[in-house]
Amino acid sequence: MLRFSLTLKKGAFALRADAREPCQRLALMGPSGVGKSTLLAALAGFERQAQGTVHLGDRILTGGKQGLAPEARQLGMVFQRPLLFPHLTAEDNLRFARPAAPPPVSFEEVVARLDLAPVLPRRAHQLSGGEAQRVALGRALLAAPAWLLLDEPFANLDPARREAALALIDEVVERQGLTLVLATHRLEEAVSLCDHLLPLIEENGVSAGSAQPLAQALGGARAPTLVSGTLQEAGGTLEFCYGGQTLRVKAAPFLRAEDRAGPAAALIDPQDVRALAAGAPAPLGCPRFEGQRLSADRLRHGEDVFTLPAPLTPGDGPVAFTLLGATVLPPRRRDAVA
Amino acid sequence: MMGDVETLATLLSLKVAAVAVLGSLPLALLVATRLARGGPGTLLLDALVHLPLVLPPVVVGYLLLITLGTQAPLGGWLKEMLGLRLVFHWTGAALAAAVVTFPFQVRALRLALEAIDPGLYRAAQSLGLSPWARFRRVTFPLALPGLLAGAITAFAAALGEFGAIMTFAANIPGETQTLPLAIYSALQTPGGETAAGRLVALAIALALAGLLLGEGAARRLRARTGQTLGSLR
Repeated sequence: MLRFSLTLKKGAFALRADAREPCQRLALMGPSGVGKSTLLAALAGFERQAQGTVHLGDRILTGGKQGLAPEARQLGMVFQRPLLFPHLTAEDNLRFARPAAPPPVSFEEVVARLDLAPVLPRRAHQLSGGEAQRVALGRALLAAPAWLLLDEPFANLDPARREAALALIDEVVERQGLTLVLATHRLEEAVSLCDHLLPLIEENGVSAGSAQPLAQALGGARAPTLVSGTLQEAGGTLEFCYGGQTLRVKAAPFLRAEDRAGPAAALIDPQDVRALAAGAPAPLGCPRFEGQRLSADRLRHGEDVFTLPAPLTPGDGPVAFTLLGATVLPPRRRDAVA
Repeated sequence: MMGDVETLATLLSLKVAAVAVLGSLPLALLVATRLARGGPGTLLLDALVHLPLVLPPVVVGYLLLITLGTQAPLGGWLKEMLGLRLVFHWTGAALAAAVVTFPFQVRALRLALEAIDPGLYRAAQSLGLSPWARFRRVTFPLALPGLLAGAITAFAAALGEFGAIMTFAANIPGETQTLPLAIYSALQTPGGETAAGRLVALAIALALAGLLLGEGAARRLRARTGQTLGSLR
């Protein structure tokens, strides 16, 4: 469980971020250059100018008279670059840390799950970007960490290995009760691995953000519904087409350029589902859907089931409803959210 | 067959060069680390380190003589307290050779240290390594090709050192008369050209063997880490 409140000033760059409630799986999101990596480095103790507190469980890592050195923080860290030791083979890199405690996952399991057997005898310069990144991830897991700090750990992986790496991290974190901090600009990764989200946004030269529970960060207190549709860019704004009608789109800044058109999945927040009385029109600019009732607070439209913020009155027949907006995910992670 | 003079001079040269290089290696590593790290005073330290490279070796020998000679305060103290006499002694020859070849070692080491990706230290730190473990398991192995290249160059240069040794340790056969000094003496002796020729051939063979060995070893080490192949300097 991680709790922190940090400020950092480095030349023209200023950062202010906090997680006031303890969180176990935290995603850092925001556009490139906003300071996600710097915040990770500060949490790890690499940024000496950082001020504030970092608590991991009941240990104080930063704060008080002096902070712990990074080597004493029981990290498992994946940096933006793989940073493998060039004089060692992939296997020696994986075995580099010599932790006192047994690691959360065995060497054999890391090799098998991350498909590393063929690269073990190779040296760092003989590995592809994706291979090096998988070795770096394995090396971090085998350091017997108390927490994992991962900076875009899936950026160079092909979809199948990305799934495998994601699943391994999810499992290890779950099994060992590790704390996870994941910097990513993919909402799909955040949604599938994390329960808290810290959106970093730059305003007036200061990058700032606070951690919130994921559902809240996504716009509501209850679980959103995942729907399929099509994304298109029209006049500089994004539109999501669902059920033959166009929805307003949120959280689009997290999407990469290649995801800004074509088949897409979107999260519909319960707060954005409004039942409509029979014959009543939808609010201006919002589509009207003919739904079927499932239970007092659930609506069905085709295969999709929407949760409503307040129960309907019992006895209502088929209900019309409107959707006020959608949070679009890149197309590939919809299964993880469903 | 080698005569007495050649054997003595060859063995002495190897001894003096080896002691000069190995003895100054720890200091070279310290100085190179400090230079690679940068910070205030780096420029001045760099200039001081390179001074023996631009000064005439005779001047270096003379400076050693006036600081470490038995009449000098420091030299006198060394002799009184430790019984250490450098002048007219093979250790003095080694010291003179070490001072003159020191820049070669520092230069190669500094380049090797500066070529190490600083991110690797962070990675090592994130994996729980203390500063000493980081040096032992990351810095040292990665700087090894540079260390070797510098040491071999310095060794070859120490074999050929003349002016500083001559001035500080003098030309005493069997004690401070290394190959170049023996060649000089042979050339000063009437009819000594044949002896000088043999010594010259020896000197060339030794220097060449050293350079080839060093280059080969450095190449192999660099190839292991995927670093670009480069010459000794």
